[in-house]
Amino acid sequence: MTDTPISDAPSGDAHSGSGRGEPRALPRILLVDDEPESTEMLALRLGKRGFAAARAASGEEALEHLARQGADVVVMDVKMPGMGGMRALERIRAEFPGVEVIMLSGHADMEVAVEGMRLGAFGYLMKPTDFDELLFKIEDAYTQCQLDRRAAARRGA
Amino acid sequence: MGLFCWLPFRRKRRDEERAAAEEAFAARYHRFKLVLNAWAKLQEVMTEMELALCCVHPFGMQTVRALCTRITTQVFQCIRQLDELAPGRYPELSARFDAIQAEVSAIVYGRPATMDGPLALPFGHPDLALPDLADPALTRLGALRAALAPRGASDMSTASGMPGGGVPDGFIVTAAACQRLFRHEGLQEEIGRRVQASGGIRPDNLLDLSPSIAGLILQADVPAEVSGAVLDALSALRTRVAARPGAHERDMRLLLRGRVWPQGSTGVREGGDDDAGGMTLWGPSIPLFGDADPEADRQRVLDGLRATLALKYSPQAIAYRRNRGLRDAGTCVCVGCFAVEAPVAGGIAYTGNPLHARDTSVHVYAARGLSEAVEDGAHDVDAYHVCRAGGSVRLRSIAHGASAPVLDDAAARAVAELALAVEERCGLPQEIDWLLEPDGSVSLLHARPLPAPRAHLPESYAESEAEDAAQTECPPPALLDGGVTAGPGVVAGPVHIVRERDDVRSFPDGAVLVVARDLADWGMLLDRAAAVVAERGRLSSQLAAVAREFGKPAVFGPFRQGSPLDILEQGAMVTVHGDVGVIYPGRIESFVESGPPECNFMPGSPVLQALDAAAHHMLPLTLDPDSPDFKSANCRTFHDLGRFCHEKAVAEMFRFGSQQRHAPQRVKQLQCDVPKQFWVVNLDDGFDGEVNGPLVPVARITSVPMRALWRGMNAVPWQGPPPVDAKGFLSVMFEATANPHLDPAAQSAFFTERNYFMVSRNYCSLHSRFGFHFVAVESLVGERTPENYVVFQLRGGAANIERRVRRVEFVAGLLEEFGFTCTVRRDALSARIENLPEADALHMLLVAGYMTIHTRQLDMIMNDGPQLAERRAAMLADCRLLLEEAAAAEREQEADQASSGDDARPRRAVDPAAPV
Repeated sequence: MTDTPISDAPSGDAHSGSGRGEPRALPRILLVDDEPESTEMLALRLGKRGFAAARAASGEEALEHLARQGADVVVMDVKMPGMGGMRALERIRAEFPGVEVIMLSGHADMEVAVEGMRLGAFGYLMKPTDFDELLFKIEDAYTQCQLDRRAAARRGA
Repeated sequence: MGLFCWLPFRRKRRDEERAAAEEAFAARYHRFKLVLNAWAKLQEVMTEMELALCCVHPFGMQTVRALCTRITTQVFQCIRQLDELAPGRYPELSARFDAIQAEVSAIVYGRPATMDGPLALPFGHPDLALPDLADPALTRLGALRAALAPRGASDMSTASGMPGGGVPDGFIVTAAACQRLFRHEGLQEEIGRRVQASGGIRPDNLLDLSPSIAGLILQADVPAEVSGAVLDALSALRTRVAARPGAHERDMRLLLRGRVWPQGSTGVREGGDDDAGGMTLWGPSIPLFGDADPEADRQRVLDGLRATLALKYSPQAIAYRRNRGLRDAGTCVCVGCFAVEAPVAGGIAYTGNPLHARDTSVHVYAARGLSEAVEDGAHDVDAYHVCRAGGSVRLRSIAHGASAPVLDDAAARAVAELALAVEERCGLPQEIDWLLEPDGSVSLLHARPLPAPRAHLPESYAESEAEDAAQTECPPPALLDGGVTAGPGVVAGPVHIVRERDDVRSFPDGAVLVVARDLADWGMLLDRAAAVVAERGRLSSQLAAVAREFGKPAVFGPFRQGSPLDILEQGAMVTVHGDVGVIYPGRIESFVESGPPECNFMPGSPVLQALDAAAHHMLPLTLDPDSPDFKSANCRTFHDLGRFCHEKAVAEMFRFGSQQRHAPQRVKQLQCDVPKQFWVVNLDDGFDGEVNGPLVPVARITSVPMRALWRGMNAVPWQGPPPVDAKGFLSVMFEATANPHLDPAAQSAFFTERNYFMVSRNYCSLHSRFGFHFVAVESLVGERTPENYVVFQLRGGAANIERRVRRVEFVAGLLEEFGFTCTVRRDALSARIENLPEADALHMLLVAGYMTIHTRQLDMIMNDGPQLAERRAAMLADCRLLLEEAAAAEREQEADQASSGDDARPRRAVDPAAPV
């Protein structure tokens, strides 16, 4: 697992962000894929846009990472050896409420896509992914996760 | 004292309540925005699907599945987010979604049923007649084996080795066996995944994708029942062959020949014009009597089988299937295994001329070694024309540079006799693959009806006539002439010389493929090439056959002037006249027009049929939002579901914002020249802070799209018709609104009461009603260019339906000038423009705002042609002026920014509501 350093300062506020003038907090992203090249490339590209991303090579590793360091948004491959993306998604949603998960898949499998959404995936994107589309999804997922946390905190108070 | 304590407490509680309300709005707005994004994306993908249905470009099932999956996830998102906005209010949506998804899924994923039946059978076995167990051509071969065997042979079962030849002994690894291999351990799924992950099959990834898939197959585990059946069949074959006298002195080989064919085809078509896209996989030839070590023997046989099956994913095979619109899942593959003596020569024979119906001599093409040497284009090939009647060899064209012919006249005649025997048996001109074994016997490996010359060809064998016709047009001097026709037709395109495989990557669509030899490999370019020119080649090659099949002109040298690789210039436009074997410089219009259109196999193909059937459940819009039937239970397509969710999400946002406890803060009247007419609902961050009192001034509105829209609405005073009185345009505009019950056909409650904006910083939706005239504008504008859109909708009017329809068509015509995509249904127009940068989106809102005001009562003049034309010109001029002013203001602001040196701030689009 490696953390990609932030290279550039974040640029501008996207319209999904708070948009109220306060400095935008950055999501902690966790990329999960059994092919290290693909998470490496993605982490690099996210880093260039100012997003730090940690990497994990399996569902098990992702759960460990979440338990140890936490994250806001998980971007995860569907097909991985071991517990597999779907099972990992199920467990993340159950054990780490407030963490949003975006599924990436090489399969154009409609049933799997719908199942993923039903299990609570924030989004389901197909490889090869348009980078901007993924970035917007991450931002939206992060906004969702902040709003949910704030609502939960208010309920708690 | 008590009072002093109590007041701050109350204030604190009020602040908390306010903060909670703000958060609730932010959360709802975020959900709402997710609906908007999903609905916009859904429409985008639906448009892509519509384009695919036009089948201008070939595509495969991966594309179909990807489109369906993307549409499905967007619809799911719409439903889920609407349920968050209105929990439990539309429970039927889920049921409708499930039902539609099940239908689509059955169409695009319906796997061919698992095949039963034997896994390996000897040629001629009666079970091979079972449907889809073996390629129809291989099944026919079994029947031919019995028919061709006699001719003085004492042992009927061992045709091979007999003078006069016939079909060699052998067996077939059936489609059922091959299917098991592909379904074993998820091999087929992994192939599909790799295709999907590289973005589907595209010209630029074919060269990487193909070896990656072939590698998977070469490593695949062969299921035990398949390897068992294959080895049993092989062992039986060995026993039969070994029983023949002298079998062990000969170099006996096992030849593996795969066949791929579309499931369900019989191979016998009306007129026998082709066998519907079947293709041969030229597998390896391995020693028949293998290794003494059984494990090494087993490995060698299974490796041969895998190597043959891997060819199903060679670049040219993938490109071929894609171009024919064949479904990978719907194509069967089987492997024929032939026992032959290592041949001295092999080739192809036609019992006719594939280009000219009246030429009935037998065309024999021969090369040393196996018969695929003739098809792959990599070997030197001799051509012989054998007279059908007397058997005399009329024409002998020996391969370039060869000193002696491959076949002597007797051998050429023997091949022709075999071909004619097959023709006699089958009743149609035939194309056969043959082998000449060392003892002089000729073996038959494959036979299929010869594709008939395409109908447009000149009936006579008169190239000279066509050449004469060409001369009368006075074309420029030919760059190359003296070539032979391998595929007829005329086409023009830029030259693209391909010397090696890497040159394939840069091959542009519609270019003329120029190569040294007619290699089968270049088949992968035939879906993109306009024509083929080869320095050398034979019309018997696979490249030539596929070019003819796809209707691409092909001319093969040698040419009088020399090599096309030296003479033709990369990128230069040339006209390839396939009929006469000539290449002209430039594009010669009169020739090109006379050529036949090229073949497009997508219409009617299995892939298109699947897409079409799936689209039927996705694309049509069957709901009308104004109808009382606009209910979730009536959604019949994904389009219906998306449309319904969008409509209801907007309604939910309005309902929530105008709730009594929020309304005082969230709903304000717009303070403008004529107050109390427009209402503004603040969905999230549409105002610059808390607004006290019932009015909100325009200046305090932070909604970027609303400011642009408002500016468009007010930039040009409205001037009728009918001509307005002195009260000015706004009064007229609102006169109609004064009576909300003008329209007896009660429109959805939304439109009846008020003109209102719903806004956030990046979103604006306007619903307005001026009398009978309804306008809705919706827009999302921000830094995310792909998510930006402007939608303008117009319906109703006071005139009769014909005039109202004409009005929306008139308005559609205007908006199309600015790049909007318009859909007209009866008297309702929906115009949409999307995926545009912030500044451009704001410009389009100026236009939309202008149209909101100035399209009113146009229906009254719809019968007045001249007045209409004048009005159109005036309206276009107004809009263009608006856009120019906005652009000028932007330039000015940019200049200001530059001079003030204030570069820290990200440059934003100019606020069009700022005074100009």
